[in-house]
Order: sequence, then structure tokens, then C-alpha cells
Amino acid sequence: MQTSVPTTPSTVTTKVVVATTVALTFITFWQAAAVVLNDLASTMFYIGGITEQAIGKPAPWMVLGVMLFSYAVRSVYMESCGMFVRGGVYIVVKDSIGPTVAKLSVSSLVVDYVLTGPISAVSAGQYLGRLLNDMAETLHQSWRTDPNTFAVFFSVAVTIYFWYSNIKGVPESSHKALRIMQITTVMVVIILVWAPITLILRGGAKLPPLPTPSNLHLTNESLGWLSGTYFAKISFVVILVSIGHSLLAMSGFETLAQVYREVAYPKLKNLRITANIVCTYAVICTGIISLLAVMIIPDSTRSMYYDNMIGGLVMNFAGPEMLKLGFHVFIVIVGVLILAGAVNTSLIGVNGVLNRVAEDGVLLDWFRKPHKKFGTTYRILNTMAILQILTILASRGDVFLLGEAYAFGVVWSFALKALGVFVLRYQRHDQEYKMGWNIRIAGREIPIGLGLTTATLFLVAIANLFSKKIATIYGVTFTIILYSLFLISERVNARKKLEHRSDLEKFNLDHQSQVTPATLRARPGCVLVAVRDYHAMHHLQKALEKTNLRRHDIVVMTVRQLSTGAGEYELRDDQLFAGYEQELFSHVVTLAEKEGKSVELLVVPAVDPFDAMVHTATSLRASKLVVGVSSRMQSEELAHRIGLAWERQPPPRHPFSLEITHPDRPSTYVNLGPHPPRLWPEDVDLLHNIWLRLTEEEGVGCKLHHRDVVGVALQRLEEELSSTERRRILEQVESALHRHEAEMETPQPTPGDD
Amino acid sequence: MKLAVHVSAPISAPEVQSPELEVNVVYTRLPGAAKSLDIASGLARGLGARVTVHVAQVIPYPLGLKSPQVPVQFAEQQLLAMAGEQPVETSIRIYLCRDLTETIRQILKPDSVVIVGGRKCWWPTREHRLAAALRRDGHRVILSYAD
Repeated sequence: MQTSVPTTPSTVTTKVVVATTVALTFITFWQAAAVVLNDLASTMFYIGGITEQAIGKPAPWMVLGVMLFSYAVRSVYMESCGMFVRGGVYIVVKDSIGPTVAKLSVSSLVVDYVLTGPISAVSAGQYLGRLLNDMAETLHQSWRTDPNTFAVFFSVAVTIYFWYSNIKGVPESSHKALRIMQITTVMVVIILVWAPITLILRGGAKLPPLPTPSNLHLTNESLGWLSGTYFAKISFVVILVSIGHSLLAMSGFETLAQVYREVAYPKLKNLRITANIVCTYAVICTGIISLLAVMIIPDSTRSMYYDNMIGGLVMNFAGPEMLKLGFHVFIVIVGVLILAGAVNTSLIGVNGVLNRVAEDGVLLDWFRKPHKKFGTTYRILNTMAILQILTILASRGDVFLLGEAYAFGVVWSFALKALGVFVLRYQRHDQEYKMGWNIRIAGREIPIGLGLTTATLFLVAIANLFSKKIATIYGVTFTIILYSLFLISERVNARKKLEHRSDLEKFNLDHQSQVTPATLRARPGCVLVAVRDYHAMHHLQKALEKTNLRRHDIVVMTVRQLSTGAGEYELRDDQLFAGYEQELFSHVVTLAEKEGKSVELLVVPAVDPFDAMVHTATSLRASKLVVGVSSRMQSEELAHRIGLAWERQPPPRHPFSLEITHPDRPSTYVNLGPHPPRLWPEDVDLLHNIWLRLTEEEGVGCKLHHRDVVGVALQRLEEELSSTERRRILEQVESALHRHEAEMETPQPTPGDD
Repeated sequence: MKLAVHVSAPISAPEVQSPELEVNVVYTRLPGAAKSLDIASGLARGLGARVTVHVAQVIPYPLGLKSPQVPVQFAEQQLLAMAGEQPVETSIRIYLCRDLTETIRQILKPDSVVIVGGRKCWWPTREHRLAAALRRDGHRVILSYAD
């Protein structure tokens, strides 16, 4: 990815080379796990409360079960990563099932991202608001804040902060992920030490009831549309609905597919280690801590802590109040760090996904318009930030409500991803890793493990569809809107593409190892016209009008700029002649047809356009090079650059004339290389008078020619320039220059003119 | 019917001899970059050196390394406009990377003269940390403030 563009200020020649390189660095499995856990582990701050509100006291077992199930989902991701280095849900589903379902899957992923921000920010706000209240109480202060209202203001502020960061394109350091996870681990370790001590000091505690159908107390709200129906009495359905309410704990797994490309060699082995670290960490911090919270926080007060379960857990530890408050502050700092990070990741993620689909023509280019100052895709970011803020306001700071809605995107993107990987089992045979439990029947492989995981995810997704009213209404509405937007965008883009193509000419590329008059069927002395911008073809128009094809052929060339060193490699046709060149030459052909004159078309791949133009003019032995006026530099500067390129050519240099055409004033002509001067009329008179005087009065004789007079004059000038007369001569030259300044503006004939 | 387009073999740029001495400018953000480039150009002009601008564009993990938040062309155009004003030979190198400090440390030659462009803040910014890391590596570092 390199470009080389030389630019110069008007007086000094400088060279500017821009080169862009991708500095690919590979990361260890610890770093990769930290990046994934920054997303995945953030759920531990809110999943316990959300699940218990939905299914009752056995909730921690269900969360633990979901975290154990994450090992199966890990295998799905590993299988997909083995096939696609960057195997996000969109790529996998598009490749396996097709673009329609891929659009659906990406819609659900966007729902996931849009809700990750609000739920994380609101949860962080809840922790912070409730900490302030705890601090006020410990310090015997009377003021209190409403946690929900505080959470709304806090999360709106956090969203606006990260929205602006993303608009500016200021990236948060990727290594912060590791640091945050180190701090989080300290927090988890302290909890895992302090909680058993508390239990021992209290003389033990009862484990929450097991998640059997009889223990699962699903409210009408948790059953949604299933409430009062026959299905609500089926144990299997009740368990599926319960899993559906807990599956949120796994949100963030998609990041595993995103970091795979950066995982160091041996990639798949390291991915397996990364995924195992992630799952084990998630089991401990999300699963075990949720369990400890139910064991330690008394049933009578636990509902107070649904929105800040870890905060509640700490405040119920055994120990001095100030120590607990200090640790509570630490937990809130960790929570705000990890949850606020998730808000940022959601904006970056959704921007990345939508840009990716836009590249496939599934999103209108309107959304990708870069910001004038910062260059970021601000319209996508604005839309997503507005949606996130509206979601926060609509939730009124209720984490449970957001959790209910959030589940839709999470479960459907998992289910579609698993289905994609399952389908690929039958379409492709290059899986570097296969999920376990495969049996062979009649020579055909039956992927039991993958099938069961996919089926479970789909059943949970379907159960969610009927039990989570908010999620279904929000998710389905949003998905339909997004899907329709993708569909409309795709059609509009396809139409544009079609319209675009219909008026373009088709070209065959004729590769030439050397450009010569013979290979191009252009006679020496041809007129070479350089074109670049099809909006500025005035010079071509003028050249077509003026050129007499009986005397001169016309060659129209464009320079395909290459990066330094690109010429060492074989270039593909699309690298030499892309859509732009097709459009450009289509305009050339239209103009030539209109004028009724034939032209030869030439693409010259080169690093420096000036070198390319001069080289081509020399190779073709052109009599004239015609260029349009440049918007980037003055005509004199342009002529100077072309002149310098001519000087750089190896001898013998072919002389030709340069015409710089202006749309609204006469052309500027410059002769490149040694050429007979075109004398001013008064100088011609002076020369003739001197010649007359020398031949007739001075008796030199009739053998003397005008050229001999000029030769002697030039020799004398050269001598005097090295003498004491130098200053006087320079003054005379200056005055001659000023005298003829007005005439310099007028067009001068050149050898190539007709 | 298709029209024929002649395609010539690539034409190489003529070799231009570059000055030996190099003044490196490191940017972590584009706004305010012009000032440190001016300082570097002044320094390079006096020393008969060339300027190399290193821009490490950090891409956050959810995005692919080739899909930066700010399109490369945008950054290139801004830098080109800035560098085109300078009176000395200027090379611009943009690195799409995950880690700013590591990338810059890897690309600099030993004992380089480096100008780090940054903002004046009372707390240590990433530019301060980068400058400190480069000094530890033995480079001669000048911290230039945009304001």
C-alpha cells in the first residue's frame, strides 16, 4: 500500500515520498486473551442481577452452565478461524449460507454492538451512583443520588466522550487491554480470597438451589408470550428460556475471531490456549462470582444489589466498613474501566462491521463519507451514537431492561455463526480444526458436537424470540430496519454500478514491452496528449481540433502512478487499468468520436508522471506534448518540472515542444532541449543591419551569413560574462526581459503546430 | 467491440541521491503536526539533511490492520500538503500498527535525531512517554509542542 507523490514549492525542488505500511505484529495468547476478556468479562458486572431477576435464585448455576457451554462455542469459533483468518460472523455466514442470511446475521451483530454500549455504560453508572450513596452513608452524609438517573447522565456522557474520540479517530492504546485485565485479575483474586474467608467466619452458607424446572421461578415477564401457554409447563422449554436469560454472559466472543489474525505462530494452537484462558477466566469471574454473590448477600437485601451485584457482594464481606468501602471503590474503578472500554469497543466494532459490509456494496456510500477534518466515517458513528443515547434514555437507567433487549443480538449472531460453520462442514474440507464428537456413518461424517451446539443455540434463540418480548420487539424491529437498509443500499449500489458501466467503453489491454512509433502505429512527430482528469479535458479537445491527422497522429496517454519499487513486480491488469482509467478513456473516446478523429490510447505505469510523459514523448519521437493546466501548480512550475524530467533523460535527448493549455486563455509553449531561438522582430532587424554593415561597409564579403554574426555575438557575450562587464550585461538582460514581458504572454509558434 | 489500450512497461523513477543525515519527526496525532515539521525542516536545512516523518496510526483491535478508522488516503493527503510546503527533501512513512511505542522503536535507526510532536499538558501524555522511551534507547529526542 504505497504511493509516491512528488510535490514542490514554487522556488525550491523538494521530493516528498509517502509510503504506508502495515506493521503487523503478532501477539501472545495472554495479550489475545486480554483483548477478548475486555469484552467478555465485562458481563460479570451485570449478568448476576439480570439473570436472578429473570429466573430466580438458581440463576448463578445457569450462568455457570452457560460459561461452561462457552467451551463448545469456543470450538465453533476455532473451527471457523481455521478456515477464515478473519472469520467474523458476516464472512462465515456469507460464505456458507449466502448473502441474505449474512445480512441478517450482520444486522443481529449490529443490534449486539448498539446495545453493548448502553448496557455497559448504564451498568458502570449504576456502580458509580450506588458507590456514591454508600460513601455518603458511611460518611454520615444526608445526600443521595437516584442511581438510575445518575446512570442515565453518566452513560450519556460516556457515550458522547467515546463518540467524539471515535470521530477524531484517536485510538485507545491496545495494550491498555492487558493492563485492565491485570487490574481486573487483582480484583477477582481478592474476591476469591475474601469471599471464602467471609463464609468461614459466618460458619458456612447454603448453595443456591439447583436449576431444576421446579426451582426455576419464571415470572410472567420472564416467560413473555409463553406465559399462560402450554409451553410454559414443559420442563425443557423452561430450561431453554432460563438459558436464554443467562446466555448474555457469553457476549463478546466475536472478538476471538477478530484477534485471530494477530495471534502468533503456531496460530491455531495459540488460539486454542487463548480460548481456553478466556473460557476458564469467564467461568471463574462470571460464573463463580455470581455464585458467591448469592451465597453471601442475604436473600432479604439482594434485590437492592441487582444492578451492582459485585458492589453488594463486597459490602457484605466480613471486615471493617472502611476496608470494604475502599475495596468497593477499587471495584467501581475496575468496573468503570472495563465497562467504559466496552462502550468504546462497541462504537469501533460497529463502525468496522458497517464499513466492511459497505465495501461489499451492502451499505450506501453516503454513510461512509469521511469527516472533513478527521477523515473518519462520521455518519456511521453519529447514527450509532444517537441510537445508543436513545436506547439509554428509553431504558431510564434500568440494566435489566437493557439486558433483556441485548440478548437478541447476542444469541442470534451466535446461532447464525454456528449454522454457518455447520454448513461449511459439508461444503468445504479444509478445516484445520474440527469440533469434537464426529462419527462416520457409511463413510459420511456426522458432526454430532457441532450439530448439538448449533441446535442448542438455535433452540435458545427461538425460546428467546417468544420469551423476551422487549428483545424481540427491539431486535426484530432493528433487524428489519437494518436488513431493509442493506437491501435497498445493495440495490441502489447495483443500479449505480450498472448505469455506471453501461456508458463506459470496453477496452482490451495490449501490453507493450517497449513503446515505439511502430508498436503504437503513431508516426514520429506525433502529438502526445497527457490526460488525467476527465473533468478537465479542454487540452485534448483543443489538440483534436488543431491537429491535422494527415501530418500528425494523436496519442492520448495517462500515467498510472505506482509506488516506488512496484515496477519490480508483475502488475495485474486491474492494477494497470482500473475503473478510473476505463472512465477516463471512455471520455477520451467520446471526444475523439465527436471530433471524428482517431486517437491511440496509452497507459504508462510509472512512479513519476513527469518522467513518464517525457519518456513516452521521447520513445514516440513526438513533436509535441500537450498537457492541461494543473490545479496544483502554476504553468511555469509545471513546465519547469517537465523540463527537469527532460534533463534527467539519458542522452541523446529528443527535443520536442510542450504546450500547456488553459481553458480560458492562450496556451503556453515551451521548447524542450536545444532549439533555434525565435528572435524578436527588432532583433531580426538589428541582426540584418549588422550583417549589412559587415558585408558592405566593413568589407567582410558576401560569404558571411546571419548565423556567423549570431555566433560571434554569442562568443563575445560568453567572454564578457566572465569579465568586469558582467554586472552591466546582467542589467541589460534584465531590462530586455522586462521589455518583452508583455509579448511573452502571447502565443508563439512551435515546430509542432499546424 | 472492445477498443485497444496500449500499456507500456513500468517506467522507473530516476535515482536521486539523498542526503546522508536524517532528521526524524514522529507524530502521534495529525493536528499540530505542522509545527514540528517546520522545526525539523529548519534543522535539516541547516544540517543539509533530509526529513523523515513517521506517523504511527494505531488501529484498535476490533478493526483489521488494513481498515484504520481514518482512511490512509486522508492522512496521506494531509501530510502531503504539509510536507509539500517544506524546503527540504521529506519522506513520509505511515505505519498502521497496534502499538505506537513499539512500532516507532523498531523503525528508528540507532542514534537517530528525533522530533516528537505533541501537546503541552501538565500530566504525562503519550508523546512524553514515547520521548522518554526513545531517550532510553539512546536517540536524541526533541519534544515539540503544537501550542
